[in-house]
Amino acid sequence: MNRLMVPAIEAEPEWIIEAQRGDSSAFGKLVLFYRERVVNVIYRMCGDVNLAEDIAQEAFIRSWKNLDRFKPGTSFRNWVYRIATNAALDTLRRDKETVDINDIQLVSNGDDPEAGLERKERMEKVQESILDLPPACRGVLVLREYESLSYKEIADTLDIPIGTVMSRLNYARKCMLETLGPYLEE
Amino acid sequence: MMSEHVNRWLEAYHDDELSGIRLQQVKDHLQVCKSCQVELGKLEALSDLLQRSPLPDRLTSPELFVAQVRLQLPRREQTRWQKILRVGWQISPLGILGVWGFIQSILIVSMVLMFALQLGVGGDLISGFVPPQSGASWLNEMISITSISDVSQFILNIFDTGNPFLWILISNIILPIIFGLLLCSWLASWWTLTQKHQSNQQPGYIR
Repeated sequence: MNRLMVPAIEAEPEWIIEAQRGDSSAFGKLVLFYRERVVNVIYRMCGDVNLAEDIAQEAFIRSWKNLDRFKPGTSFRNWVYRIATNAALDTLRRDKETVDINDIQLVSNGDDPEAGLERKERMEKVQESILDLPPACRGVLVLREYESLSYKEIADTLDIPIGTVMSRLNYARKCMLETLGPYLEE
Repeated sequence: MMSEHVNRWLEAYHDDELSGIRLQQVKDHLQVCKSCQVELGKLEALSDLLQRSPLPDRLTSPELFVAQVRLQLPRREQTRWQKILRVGWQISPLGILGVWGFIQSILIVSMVLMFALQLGVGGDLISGFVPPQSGASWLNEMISITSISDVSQFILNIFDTGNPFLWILISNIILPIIFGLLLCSWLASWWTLTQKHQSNQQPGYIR
């Protein structure tokens, strides 16, 4: 490992300062660092990987334009997540659910075809049940289950009270338990 | 009513959001309540099921994604103060050299006039510009018109000794050192910024 390279998490504050001064290469490092997580969140919310990447790009461009509003010392991750979820919600409201379940492509890990088919059906059902949730609840569930944000972090990210986070999470889980009940026993 | 109350705390318990007395209450309740244990088991199974659905592997490569984003980034507008500071920093070496040159020219002219007076050359012409006093006092008078502070007056009193050695020391050694240090400071800051910019070009280590 090159001694001059520092772990990305330690260099993040410096990248942010440089990006706020207009350094696009520093911003590129932030994009590289958060790309997968942001795409993951948006994909879970909209169900289409190509659309998720487009929205993620849009989210990063929005964050670049509004970098002056980011307060150093606060969580850049949560700030980017807020922009990403808002961008996803804007697109969902505008396009009124564009997902095609048949487009959901899953990773194959070499299982036998029958098991692979069952797994695919299960995963499709999971994604479908997430997409059946109201967009507001979807965002809370995704940030909690896939990004492991705390209630406080979710509240800060989505700019809602903690009580609202808890109630939306409760509703989302209730709906999903009803839909996915049979699959939980596998 | 009681089980609804417990179910609500159950989710928070599952999400590690409880602490203190409430956490202990839920733990104690779970030890004796089978239905709540089942509910907790469902929450854990649901989380496990959700975690088992990975991202599709059709994602754009990270480098291409970043390149696409950077291509679309608009130029960030600098504020007026940022522009002023940036331009000021860029021309500061010229300013330093200009001030140094200006002071040097004043010193040279004043020394020439002093020697001319002492040699009696120029006569009335020079005396019209320089009062018939010690060498630097005309400078003192000119600047005193602008009502400078006591500190500056004290500094000028040093100049007003008429000691040529002091003049030589100040104009040929002290002032060049001061301006040289200022220029070196600017060069050091320029070099630091350049090194920073080059290190930003290297990719960071990412898990």
